[in-house]
Amino acid sequence: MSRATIYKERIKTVLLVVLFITAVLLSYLYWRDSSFLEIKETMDNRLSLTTLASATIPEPSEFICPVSVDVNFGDGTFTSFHENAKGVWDLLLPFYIDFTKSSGLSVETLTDRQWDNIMSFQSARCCFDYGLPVSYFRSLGAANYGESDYFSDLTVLAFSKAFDDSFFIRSADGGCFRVRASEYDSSNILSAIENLRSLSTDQYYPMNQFLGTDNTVITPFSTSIDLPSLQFRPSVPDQDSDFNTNLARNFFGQSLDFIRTVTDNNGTTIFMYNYGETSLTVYPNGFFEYQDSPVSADKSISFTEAFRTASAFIADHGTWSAHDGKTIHFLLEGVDRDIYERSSVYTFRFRSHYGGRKIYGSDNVLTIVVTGSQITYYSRNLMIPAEEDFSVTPNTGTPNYPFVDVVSQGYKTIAGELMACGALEPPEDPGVLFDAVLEQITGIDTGYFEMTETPRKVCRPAWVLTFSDDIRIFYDLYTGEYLGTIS
Amino acid sequence: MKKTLLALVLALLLCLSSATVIFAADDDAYSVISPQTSETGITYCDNLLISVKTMDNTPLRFTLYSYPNYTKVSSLDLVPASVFNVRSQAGPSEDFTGGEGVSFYTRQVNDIQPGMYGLKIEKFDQEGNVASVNQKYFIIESSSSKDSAAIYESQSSASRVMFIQNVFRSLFGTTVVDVSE
Repeated sequence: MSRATIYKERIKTVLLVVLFITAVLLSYLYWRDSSFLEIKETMDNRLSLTTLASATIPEPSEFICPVSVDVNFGDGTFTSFHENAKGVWDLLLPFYIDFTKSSGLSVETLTDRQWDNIMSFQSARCCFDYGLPVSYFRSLGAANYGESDYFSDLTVLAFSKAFDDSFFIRSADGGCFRVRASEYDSSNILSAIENLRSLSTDQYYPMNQFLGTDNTVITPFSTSIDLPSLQFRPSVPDQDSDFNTNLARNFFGQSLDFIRTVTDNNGTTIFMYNYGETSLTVYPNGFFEYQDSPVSADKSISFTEAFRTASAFIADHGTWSAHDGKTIHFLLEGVDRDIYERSSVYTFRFRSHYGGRKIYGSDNVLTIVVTGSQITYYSRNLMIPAEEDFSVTPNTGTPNYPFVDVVSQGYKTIAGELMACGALEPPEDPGVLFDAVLEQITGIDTGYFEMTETPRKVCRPAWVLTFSDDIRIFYDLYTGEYLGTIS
Repeated sequence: MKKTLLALVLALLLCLSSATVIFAADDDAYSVISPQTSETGITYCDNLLISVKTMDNTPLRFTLYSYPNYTKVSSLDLVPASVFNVRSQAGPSEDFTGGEGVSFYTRQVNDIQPGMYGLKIEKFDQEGNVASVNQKYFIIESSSSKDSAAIYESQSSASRVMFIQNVFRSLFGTTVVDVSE
């Protein structure tokens, strides 16, 4: 090797060493403000939900509650529990869990007519407005008695004295079933149902016995439901604060170095990661929406697992409380199940409530989608009352506007709303319009209807009439005034 | 043609046989919703709801009678004519005038005793004169005497009616009104 070649090689070596040291130095200068743990956290937040911080994660049972528990005392009197349906559900559910452990359980199919006849005896029906998967009951300790061969979820769980060796199930697709035990001591549950008489003075009747038509929906006859009015001014996060950034850190980790941020003229801020595959949109009123592209995980998880995943994510990303830490109570309002590339997809919708009564309106809803074990969508539209501007006006003894007058005086308005929503065809004979409207009712409840009276919001106590396709029509509980329709 | 006529007559009989008891007391101005009675005219309850739907503001008067000579039978059709001759008023008469549209007259009778009852409905004209009188009869039996064994039997009876209806529907392509309950 010539001397010139040796010099060249030495110069190259020195250059390589200088380049290496420069690279290390520049890398240090770039990364010195970021710790390895922060980088790892960002990746973990993207890739896995199993490392969620141990925030308070509520159990599914805290949110799962029948929309009503309808009781037939068997002597011609009926009642229905709405506000305290959770308490009655917690009372009756253990009987069913124990029942599933009975010997010789068998399932048989019933017709609608047989179901109605069975429920005409002393009975209690826990009614949900969504299909509750049977796997949920197993997570509570219920035995598997092969019910999945007949139904995968239920909307009504009932017990009737007509056959006190059985429980009765109505599935989400409308099927009716009798689950019979070869031996079951029903004395305790019958006694519990009888004791419910002392818990409610409100009188109800099945609609077909009270107003006519074939509809058997339990209908208020004489009620003294005492609901206060709520008024509040929504609490909007201070735009000058770090609310948006702090919220984004909940989703993307402490370091937002890899996050692209766009703010439009309206004040809406969008945080994007990985070329927009993951995004968080924060609106000026504090509402936000998170979206993540589903990773094909080919994973099916149970309802309860999905629920816990969703619950943990909510607890860790914005929490179950208000922005300012105030507790907000939610109930599960709906659940849908789907399949995406062999992964189970669960969509959960939660609605806030006050004193057990749901607050209906365009807001106050949490929606979260669990695909496999990944959260692919989460939106939170929550109006937070400012504490100093939140007032509760008690009802001063005004009696309830009779429900029968709501429908007899308002059925033409209701029919108009249903026709506008495409849920009712104009009958050829106008004389049957009243019955046609009654036939469409799938549930009657009370709750709050949120009305905007700028800058305040007023939640008025309301009769809530539910129809198919989640159409709800609201009438003032005390004046009978039509308040609005949500479809 | 003969077969068609025969089938129509049968369908008519099928409807009328069970409609007699249920709608006997109905009128253009009102219809009795409750007490609902089965084909036998028997209602099982200890507390009775009376509910009558009115279509306009025609003045009505409602009076509930009991029939003390009634002895238990399995169907209203089997009540001897002599039972109807003796009656006593069960509670005061009540006058009711509905609104322009649909209204409901309702009344609760608590702790009603088993027996035979009749709801008399008097309709008045604008001058206050009785324009028509209807009476709906029904039998009250204690809710504890209700037999669950009949649930599956009544279903088979209903299935038979549905089968006949379906036969007519397939023959004539029309809907037969279900008045079996």
